[in-house]
Amino acid sequence: MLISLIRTIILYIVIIIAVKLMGKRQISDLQTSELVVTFLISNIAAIPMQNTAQPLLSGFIPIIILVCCEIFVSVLMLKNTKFRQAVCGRPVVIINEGKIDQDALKNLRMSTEDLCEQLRQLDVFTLQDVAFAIIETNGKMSVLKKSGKQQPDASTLGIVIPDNGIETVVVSDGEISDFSLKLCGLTKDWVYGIIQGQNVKLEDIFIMTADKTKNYNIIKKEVKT
Amino acid sequence: MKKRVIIVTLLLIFSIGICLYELYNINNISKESIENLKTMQMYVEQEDMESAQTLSEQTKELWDKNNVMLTIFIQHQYVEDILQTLNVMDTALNIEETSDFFTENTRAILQISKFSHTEFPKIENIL
Repeated sequence: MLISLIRTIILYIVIIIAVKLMGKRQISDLQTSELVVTFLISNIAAIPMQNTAQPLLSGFIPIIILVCCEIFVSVLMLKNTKFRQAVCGRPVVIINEGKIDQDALKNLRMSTEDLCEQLRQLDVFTLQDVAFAIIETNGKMSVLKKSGKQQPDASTLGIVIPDNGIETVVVSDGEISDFSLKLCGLTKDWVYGIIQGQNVKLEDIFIMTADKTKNYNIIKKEVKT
Repeated sequence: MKKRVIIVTLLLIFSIGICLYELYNINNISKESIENLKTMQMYVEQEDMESAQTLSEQTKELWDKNNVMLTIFIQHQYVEDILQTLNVMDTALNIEETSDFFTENTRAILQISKFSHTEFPKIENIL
């Protein structure tokens, strides 16, 4: 049992390193090949984890090789467009200038229900509103609505919105984040000045957010009675 | 990206190195063991039990010495089976049970040959 425990910890560390090496991505954003590699790694790791008669190396080597292949393939895909198209395929236009490409739908084995469902998930409830719909290489759909159906943005309406930059968490659970402060061009002295002015102790702050225009918001920790 | 490529290249070289090291060691140990086992057979046929016993001890020592290295690379069961056969063969030799010795000796040769053959990247093993 203790062997299983130690093996599990070792394999957990190996998987974390492998996933870190492959790069941060959400499952929904993974290309098909990346998704397959991720599942393969988890399956391979499970075998020596359960079977203590199996050498741990027999799990490590395939994981290392899969990660190597994955990274080499992604480098090749970056350098060579044809290779990328061969591995990932091309985006497929299924609605072109408002007209559904039925052949493309058939090739993708996509029913009209699937099409409508995916459109609804993108807040499009009428087919007539769509100018272009494209199935991306990761299987997700991108939609461009017809010009009359698009939501106007600030520049279209001629409104100037002040640029406050990004709002970041500068204090989390009583700890100042240097990274967040740097991101919005603030200093620790500014944070200390604010909390002194508010008569709050640093350790009593649950969350404090700020942006580059020095707008801030402080939420104190709840006091348990 | 460059850093990642360097890391995975190093990992790849490390993995290939480990695989080659495994093949080299398995090949050497198997060759030496099979040679010893065949010589032992010859000694027993010539009724030179003392030389056969010395060689049997040497073979057992060889496997005991490399036990850790082998279990790192090979299914533990294979290594344990061979060690068990070598021990039974050694006991048969010590009590001069020649028929048992020949049986275990042949079994050990077969087990070791199978063990080394399954680890080599031959087409039948890959497929």
